[in-house]
Amino acid sequence: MQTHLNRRSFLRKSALVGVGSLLGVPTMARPARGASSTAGVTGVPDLAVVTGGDYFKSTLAAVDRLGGMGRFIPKGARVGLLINHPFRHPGTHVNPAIALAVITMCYNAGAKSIHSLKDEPHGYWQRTPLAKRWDAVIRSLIPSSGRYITVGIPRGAFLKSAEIIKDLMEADVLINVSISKDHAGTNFSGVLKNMMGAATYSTCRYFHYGKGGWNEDVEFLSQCVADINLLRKPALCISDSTECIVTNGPYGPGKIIRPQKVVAGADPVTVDAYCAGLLGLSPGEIAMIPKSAEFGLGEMNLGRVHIKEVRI
Amino acid sequence: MTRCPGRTLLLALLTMLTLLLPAAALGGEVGREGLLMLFPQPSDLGGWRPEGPPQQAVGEELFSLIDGGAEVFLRAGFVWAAIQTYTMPERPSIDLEIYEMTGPEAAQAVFAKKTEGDGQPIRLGAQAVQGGYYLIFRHGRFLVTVTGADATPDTQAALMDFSRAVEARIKQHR
Repeated sequence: MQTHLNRRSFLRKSALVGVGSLLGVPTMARPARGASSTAGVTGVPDLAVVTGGDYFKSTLAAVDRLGGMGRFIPKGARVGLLINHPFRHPGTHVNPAIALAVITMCYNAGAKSIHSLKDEPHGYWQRTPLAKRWDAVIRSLIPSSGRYITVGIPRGAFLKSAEIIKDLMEADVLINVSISKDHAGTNFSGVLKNMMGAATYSTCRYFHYGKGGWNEDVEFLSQCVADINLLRKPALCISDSTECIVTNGPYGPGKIIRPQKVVAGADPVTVDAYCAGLLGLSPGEIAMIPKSAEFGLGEMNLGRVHIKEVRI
Repeated sequence: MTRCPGRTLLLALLTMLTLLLPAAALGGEVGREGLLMLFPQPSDLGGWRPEGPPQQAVGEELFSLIDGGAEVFLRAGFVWAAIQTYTMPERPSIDLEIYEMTGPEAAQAVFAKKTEGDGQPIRLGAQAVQGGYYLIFRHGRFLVTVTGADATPDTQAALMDFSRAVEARIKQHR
């Protein structure tokens, strides 16, 4: 029997089992109605980077350093969650413990429902031993698959429209949960590239083929990635930079590095710029980052952002 | 009704060809059935069992199977692929991927790209690299990837067992 868990039942269950203490989440004062913005909050960093071996706790700590999930999620919100998890090789997918931490924080912050914008592959959640404890939470996710819309991108340079999952536009809040890794096409995959995960195959095909057959043009692909990011800026970006392939991306298998970092921020360009550095890359050499910055989607100059790095 | 001896002979020949096709096909394009014949059976693997049916893709379907990972294959010349997960109690699962390319050159091109910057060459097939938790080799127009969840000695031994079993099947059926 499928257990349906919404915000109310999650909070009730959380209260009964003391979920806050289980999570180790500090009790924080939250605004009555959260807003999808981090701007103008004194002392709060633009980017929180937490290093540690317990990825669930690192994720909680990273969002906590940003002021808590309540800053990003209005109470009663429908949250769209875009997780990069289609692959199964080590270092190619978001660790499910990180995704679980995000989901539990969303409910704790008052989310009404959480919509999974991309179907998870078979057995994804079972890759973490936490899956059993959070089984009801996992089953509460509402799949968004099967409902698509075509939307125009007037400012797009190459991509003028895209067929995407409908909930990407309809969710009250978008959270992008990506993994930092090598990518054969764009040299790096992170938050910006993950937006392709919300597009249909035919739209993604255009990124690679253009209008004139197979297209190996990195500039074209990178511009399309920047273009699709014009559709909607995430309220929160979480990057799994714990275990990352640095060769043979995006699918792997390949050489793995283990920065053991969870990176969180509201600015997708800043998050990618920082995470590219973890892979030994300069943000400027990953074309989609400057192209997205030129669109005003974020700041790629890390010297201009406040970064808080902690180890737990 | 008059029976035509020539037509009967032709039908008999066609029937024989149909029966022999799966094995013979490996000399040309193997097709779905032929490719699946290259996957080891539990009897070859000492306890490892396939988990459900294999996932398969032909041509651009590869995008739906391995997403952006398809680019390098399609660029080089891709025909078919099948991916199978194997499990054994108390052991992390192992993924076996077999790709049929348009020719040995295409397989070599993908091999070179996928092994760039990692792994140690080992003697297997025409060319092989072991990278701790995975093993990649090519043989003829086939590219084979075997991936575990860790780099323990047990996993590495299993990767080699899988690879040798596939190589033997490629040699047997070509």
